[in-house]
Amino acid sequence: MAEVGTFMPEETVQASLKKKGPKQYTLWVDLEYCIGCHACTMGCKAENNTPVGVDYNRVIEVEVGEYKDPRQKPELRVYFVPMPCMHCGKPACLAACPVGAITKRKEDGIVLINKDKCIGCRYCAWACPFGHPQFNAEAQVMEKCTLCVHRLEQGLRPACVDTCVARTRFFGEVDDLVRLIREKRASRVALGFAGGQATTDPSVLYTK
Amino acid sequence: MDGTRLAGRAVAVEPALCSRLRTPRSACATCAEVCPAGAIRITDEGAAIVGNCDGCGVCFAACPNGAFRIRGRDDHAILTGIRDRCRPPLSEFRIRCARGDAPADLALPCLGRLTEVMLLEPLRLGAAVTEILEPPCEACPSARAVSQLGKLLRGTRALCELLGRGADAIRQRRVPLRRLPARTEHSVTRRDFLRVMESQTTGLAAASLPASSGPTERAGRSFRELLAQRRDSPKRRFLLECLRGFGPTPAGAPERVPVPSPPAVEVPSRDAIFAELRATNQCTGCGVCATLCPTGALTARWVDRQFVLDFRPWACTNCQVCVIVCRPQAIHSRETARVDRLLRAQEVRLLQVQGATCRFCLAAFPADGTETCPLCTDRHRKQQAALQALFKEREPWIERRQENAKSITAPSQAST
Repeated sequence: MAEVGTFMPEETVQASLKKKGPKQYTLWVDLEYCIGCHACTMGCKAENNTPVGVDYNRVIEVEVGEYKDPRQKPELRVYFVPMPCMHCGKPACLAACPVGAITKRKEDGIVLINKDKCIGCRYCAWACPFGHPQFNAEAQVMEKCTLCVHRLEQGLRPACVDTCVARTRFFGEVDDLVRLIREKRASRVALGFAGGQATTDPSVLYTK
Repeated sequence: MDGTRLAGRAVAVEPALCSRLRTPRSACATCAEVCPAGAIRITDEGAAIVGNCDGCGVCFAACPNGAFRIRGRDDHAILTGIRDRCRPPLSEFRIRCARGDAPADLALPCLGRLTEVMLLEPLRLGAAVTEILEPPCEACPSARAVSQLGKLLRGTRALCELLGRGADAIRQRRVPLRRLPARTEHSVTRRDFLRVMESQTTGLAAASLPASSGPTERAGRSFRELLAQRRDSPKRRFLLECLRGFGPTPAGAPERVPVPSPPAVEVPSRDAIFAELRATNQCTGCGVCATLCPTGALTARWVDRQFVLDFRPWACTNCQVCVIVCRPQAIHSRETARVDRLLRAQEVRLLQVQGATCRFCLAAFPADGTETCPLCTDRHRKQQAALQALFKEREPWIERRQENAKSITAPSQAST
């Protein structure tokens, strides 16, 4: 099936999904083209049916630069940064959980919370350097982005990737994504990680 | 045998009481260390009996929570035996292990099987002294089973002082070790070989399988239901019954202080059978200590917008789970414990703080004068810090735009 206008070729996505052995699924967010429409947040909310106050994918606004002298052009820019779970290589939430409810799956690198075990203590939210896990007051458990693991099992991409109107989000295996970024934008782009390659080794890629 | 694993064996694990099941942070491996048959393995789901269990019950005695069920010779059966043998006049009650070579009133499989109540019950029934007939354990192949004996004796002697009997009411006497009959050498049969293989490898295959993707079920209950289920340690139940039974002075026993005003006996907390806990203001009101406490010695609740943490010392087994799991390290056990708290059925209020409701996440938190809970404040700060680090290096678009501006303004100057 040919995708029209999608940056990431469908074949690459399917090849990533079919890859055997330990791998790391992740997202690439191209901040250059993110317009801050929050469609990913809403698509995620609809897909995962999260209650009010719980969002697996929040879009954070960051001001970069300063506006000092009104006579000159301001060196100021606002970035919209969607922040899903970074599905870290060394998850701080996993280490903090007192009941061992969080696992990082070897086969695809997705960090998941086992809702049968979770006691809703919020220790993972305290430990996460991105403050990602959120408390679901109805179920009294913590919830976080699952990278739409239920969709991946059906061979689909995460809901936020499909919803993105500006086509700035891409899903794939981390090596495939890096190769794609290098092909398309190598001349001017440096890969970035939230927290500047923090100690937890986050996997979500940002380019700006 | 509801709720117990491997019900076909002589010993079964009581999962709700095992510290290792309740939190993987606990480093407790006492049962696996003392098991003379090496039949206990610590898994992700707590202690599990995997090998050739002899049913000696040393694990039950060593476990602070008594998280095992022994079929047949459990504490109740042994106590009934002690009561049968304790007929006055009785000056001393002698306990030996299966290999102690001396006449005794009670024979246990191993001295590691001793619990506090077995030493105190004869005293309650009129004996002046409980005597442990101790063979040289270091010469016994099961020597590892008695590693907890010293701690048990120190703790029980403190209880004796509390009951006005003095520490010398429990004595140790060396006795010779009975020689085991020499094993007859015989060739290894196929059956023997397979039996050894079974004892060595049971559980290995299961451990190597990936974790099941479905909901974790243990005997039909989920993990959280198991956590919510609190039961008193059976060890502690028998001990409290015995301690409360030290009523009026029996005939022949020396005069002692009546129980209503027990003397204050302090013991170092590592020997104590309960921990004397205290909580500090660093508490965030998460209630993890109470949720994970195996015996329900801690209760956390919100009453009238106040967070209240109550402690029942007599139920605490000094397993240290609460201290290990507390993230802000707000709960500590004191250096010493006052044993007399066991006899006073008095709840201790560790903490009572005013609460507030967070403006963002609507969670209750101990009030600190702000409208936002510390977690929400922290989340905002962390996200901004993480993203500032992402944009830390000089922005290439600024330089690009400056260059563009030059190229645009240069021709316009030339034209004027």
